[in-house]
Amino acid sequence: MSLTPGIIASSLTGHLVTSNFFKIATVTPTSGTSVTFSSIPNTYKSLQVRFSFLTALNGYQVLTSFNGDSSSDYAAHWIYAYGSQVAGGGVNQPSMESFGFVAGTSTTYPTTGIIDVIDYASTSKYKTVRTFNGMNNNTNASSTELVLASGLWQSTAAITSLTIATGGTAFATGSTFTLYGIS
Amino acid sequence: MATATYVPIATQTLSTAASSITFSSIPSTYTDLRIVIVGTTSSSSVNLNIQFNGETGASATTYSFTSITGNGSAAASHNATNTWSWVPTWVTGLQTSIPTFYTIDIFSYAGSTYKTGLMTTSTDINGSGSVERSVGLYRNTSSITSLSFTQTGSVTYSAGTTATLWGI
Repeated sequence: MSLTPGIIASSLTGHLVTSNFFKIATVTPTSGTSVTFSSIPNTYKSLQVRFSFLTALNGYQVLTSFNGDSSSDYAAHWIYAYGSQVAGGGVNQPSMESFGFVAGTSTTYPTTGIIDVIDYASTSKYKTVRTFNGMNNNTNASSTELVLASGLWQSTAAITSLTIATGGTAFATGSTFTLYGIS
Repeated sequence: MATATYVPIATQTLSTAASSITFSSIPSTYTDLRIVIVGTTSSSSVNLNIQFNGETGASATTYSFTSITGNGSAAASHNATNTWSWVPTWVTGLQTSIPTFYTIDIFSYAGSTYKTGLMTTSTDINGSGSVERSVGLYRNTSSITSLSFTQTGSVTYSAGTTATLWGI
């Protein structure tokens, strides 16, 4: 492995390993419309989900819920770019938390994103979420989207499971969801 | 037992000006890559260009991106299709003295699908500046084994520019 100081930095052996970012689980769905991380330990400060997924159809939202709760305890707000436009929006008391209209995806163009859940193990606070996700399909059309969102789950229960659903279309081969714990 | 992961693969701080910064021989053992760059350039208001797997120059057409930007007074969106690099700096650009801060996340970089990345750019030059978020597509199903931050013409990244590649 080569390293040319000043111009090229190649991968190095003997890495330093940061000690506070842990992989809890990875899911690679090839079908189905949702993935669930369950039995999440309460030993971390925050959770982060990183994903890259493909689905069979365009135009579906990414929806997230916690602990199997399908009541109206969720809220979300977002700003997003689509095509050449910028817009914002929000929703209160949906049955699942919507992180925008991001999943304008297909079996060719991955939708990617990062979901951060802060203080997920608290038993005295509502849970706040932020997301950054997007999809580009090499067009200027509105199906290319970039979304920044905040979310709220109005529950003081510790989060022990987390579900991400497309709202209808099935995941396709090449999809990866990984849950991390941050201590 | 959960696995600790967020590994600094390589870090480079330029000791002299350079026209590009390249990370090569990237191992395929991680799920995602993250790059953090804080840098300046020899000219003001220039782009950071991101290319993969040894592609250089402006001949490629396999890149596209969409950005949302704020410049202090308005929000806007920008698109580029069939272009030769990802450009997370659309509004203010790299500067000669005040550093610009970038993060680039590349998801499933070792997989066999097209590659999508999320990028952030933060620039404030005391009177103007911008905050930018971008999504990029690289229409190539090959694993990403190297990535480069390039410039055009005689522009160079200044000494002191720092780039770190992380595996997640």
